Amino acid sequence: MRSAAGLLAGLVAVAAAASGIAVAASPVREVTSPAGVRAWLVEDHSVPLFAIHFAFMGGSAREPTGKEGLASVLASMLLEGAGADDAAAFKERLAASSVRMGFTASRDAIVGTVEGLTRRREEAVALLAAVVGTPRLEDESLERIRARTLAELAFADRHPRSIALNDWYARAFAGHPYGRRAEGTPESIAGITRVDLESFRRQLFSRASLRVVAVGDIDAASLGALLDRVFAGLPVELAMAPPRTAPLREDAGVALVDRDLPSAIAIFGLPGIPASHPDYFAQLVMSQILGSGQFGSRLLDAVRVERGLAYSVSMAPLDDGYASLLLGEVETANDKAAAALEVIRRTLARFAAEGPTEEEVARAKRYLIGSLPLGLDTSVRIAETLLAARLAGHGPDYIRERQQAIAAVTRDDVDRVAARLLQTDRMIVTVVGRAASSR
Amino acid sequence: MSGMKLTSSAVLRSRAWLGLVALVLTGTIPASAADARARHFTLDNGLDLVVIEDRRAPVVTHMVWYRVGAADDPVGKSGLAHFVEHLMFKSTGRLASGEFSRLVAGLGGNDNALTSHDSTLYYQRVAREHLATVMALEADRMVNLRFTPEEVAIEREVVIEERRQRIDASPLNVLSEEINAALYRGHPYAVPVLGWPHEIMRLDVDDARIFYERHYAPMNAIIVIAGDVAADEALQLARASYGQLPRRESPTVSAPSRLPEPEHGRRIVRADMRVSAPTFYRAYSVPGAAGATGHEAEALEVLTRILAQGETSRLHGRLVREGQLAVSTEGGYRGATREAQVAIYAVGARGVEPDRIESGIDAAITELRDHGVTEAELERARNTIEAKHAFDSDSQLSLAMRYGEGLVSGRSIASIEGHGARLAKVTREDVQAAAARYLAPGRAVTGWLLPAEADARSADGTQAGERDR
Repeated sequence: MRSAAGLLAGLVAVAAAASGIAVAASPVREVTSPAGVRAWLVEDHSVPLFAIHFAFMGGSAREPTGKEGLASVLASMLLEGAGADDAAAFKERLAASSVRMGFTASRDAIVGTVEGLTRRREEAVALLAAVVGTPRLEDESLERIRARTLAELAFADRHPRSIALNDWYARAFAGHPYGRRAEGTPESIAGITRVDLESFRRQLFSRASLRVVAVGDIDAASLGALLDRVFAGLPVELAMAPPRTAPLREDAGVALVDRDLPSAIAIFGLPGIPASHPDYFAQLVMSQILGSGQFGSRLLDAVRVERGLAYSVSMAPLDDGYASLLLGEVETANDKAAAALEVIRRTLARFAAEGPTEEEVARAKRYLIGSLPLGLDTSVRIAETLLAARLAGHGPDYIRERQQAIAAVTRDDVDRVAARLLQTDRMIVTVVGRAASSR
Repeated sequence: MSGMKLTSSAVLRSRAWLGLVALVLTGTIPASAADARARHFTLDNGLDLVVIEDRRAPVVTHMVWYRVGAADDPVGKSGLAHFVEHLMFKSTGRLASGEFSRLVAGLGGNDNALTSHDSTLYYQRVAREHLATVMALEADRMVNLRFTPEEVAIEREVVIEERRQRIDASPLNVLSEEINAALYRGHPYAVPVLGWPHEIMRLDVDDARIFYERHYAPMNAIIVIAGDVAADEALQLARASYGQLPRRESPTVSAPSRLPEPEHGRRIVRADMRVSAPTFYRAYSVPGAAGATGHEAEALEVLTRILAQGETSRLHGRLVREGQLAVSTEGGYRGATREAQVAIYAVGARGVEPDRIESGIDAAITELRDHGVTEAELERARNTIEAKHAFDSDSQLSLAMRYGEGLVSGRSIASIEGHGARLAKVTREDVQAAAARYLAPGRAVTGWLLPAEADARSADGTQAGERDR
């Protein structure tokens, strides 16, 4: 069963093994390159594709004050030429070899993805090594990215969901880097220079901050060579201090952003439980029952199915590196927003008081355990899942541990977590819409 | 369906065709062998079954495609096909309202549904051992839906909310709806899938029931299963579930009303306070794979990529990198069905007049029509499309989607699996010919979204251009 295709199947079998059934060794291997760069590998040769996903831990939350958006601009600039190639030449090489390469910045990391056909792997490695080692970061590209970023900011400023999320984060995390706008402000974006990019990159790109996951048609020896060629030249230590843990402001309350829009959107949130805490999985089961957004979830049934107040409503745990939340959203007609929020509050309060039924807990657990393998059906999805697990601090056995931990959650666990978390008077809410009708 | 609606004899013909293909597949296969993987069966009651084995993970994707969609909405009852899709999650004789999805989630599965102009799709993704269960559930709601007035009334509110959230909340989607209405004037595609609000509000329980009884039957459905199941086993399971439903003659469907060849380009300009930068959105009416001959669809696919997709495209080079007229450009060709569009999109740079942006786009298109593309561009486009195809094939959902979308549009499995071979045939001349023929000004509807100034607001607070919504 060590056939190549078996490994991918093996990973999914691990995921599928419910209720603590012991499974042989995880098919996720830890690989260390000759020069000492480490990675997780899921080897599977059944399709001639590979996916390398990696992160430098440290994102917008570590930007200097006044330079908001720097991480995001840097992520865009990484595709703007490297080594001997200017932006146009670099993009032509990417397209000609059909290598998919992308970079995104979040609050806590810059994530890179490289995916391609096996027969183009050499070219992919050469391009990636140039980006990580010697990105061009040229002024001409910077001006283009700046113009695009400003246009995106202007768009976001008129986009109800972005307005709501920005307001929610600004109030919930006032005084912490998480409260700043991750994508920057027009003023901060206008002030970003090539020197800022170079300095942020030098502080962030290090072997200490690096996490790598490789999936697909690549063996350990080839991966080792790849890791050395791309990453071995980076500084060993991280030169950047992590931000402090971010507590939610207790006094944030409810805010209304008055906009003349055809519908209203509300973001609502509460403090959550971090992924490292033993009750994290009880929180996951609770959120599934309440806010999965699927039919049969409490919020959707109360708001949509029983009352037709909205098309969608959901709530999920969100574990950023330094803050843990339960964050929900509902979009509705202006004149139904107040009613929808009231139904949400009552539904959460009732759940805090009464807890779930045994049947709900069993069904949520079956879903959470059973649906995981559905999300592990392509190399890219496996790489995404494993990198997220790495960034959350889990080990290579995470998938099995997660399945067992969920299987072990009891109704009492969910009861306890619900009573603790669902204090609706502490709920932080932002509504974007017409003031008169949403109260 | 109507864009590619088949008369019943055409359905029979295409079935025979599919059967032949399945036989051929076991024998010698042409160059695109890597793609040839689906098997097709037809049950006695007329139901089509297509199985694509993918044994890598113990998971299956199960889809039911009905050959009915928004293009079949009766006049004055727009949104009905989509409304019935919503009602399919309500009570049947056996299941309570909402129980379908609760059961699937309880199995650890996901489910969803999707209505287009030509088809209505329901699908579940579950562990392989639950395939029989979801087949039984789908077979049940294919014929046993109850339609109570209460369920219908609440769901109508939900659909109105969905429309508000999906269309009205997005200026670009509002524009896109109007571009479609102009591009397909006089054709059912001109009416939005979600329907017009004033017509949705009048849909009632009888409308829904009549539509359902007319269109939901084994004869009018295609089951597509991709995943960890042998084709023969899937066939046994289908016989035990769908096979138990009685045969009912296929609903009489009208012959496809073809679009007239467009001759006069049109223009739609909207101003909206939510728009921050002038945004260009043009759609050309072109054939999709089910309406094209030879490798014309693939030539259009290559053309769109060279012209507008990604940062190596002509538009990005001319407008963003060189001219600094736009901050971003994109394009797309979604061509699985009979009628398709080539769409082009650009967000203007600060302070640049929309006229200059449009002139820049037109110049790039004229250059392409007059002088064609380079061999390097063709090669790059082909590589990118091949890679995308390979990545899509790696995903059960995309794979099942590719077959279902093709089959429901009346294409054969051989045609669907022949994509790579046709792509290889595309020459520079083909691409230029496609540009010359299809990117003609007369085939386009050009849309502009412009920022509205605050003082353009009318007294009652609504934006002038939106008053009728």
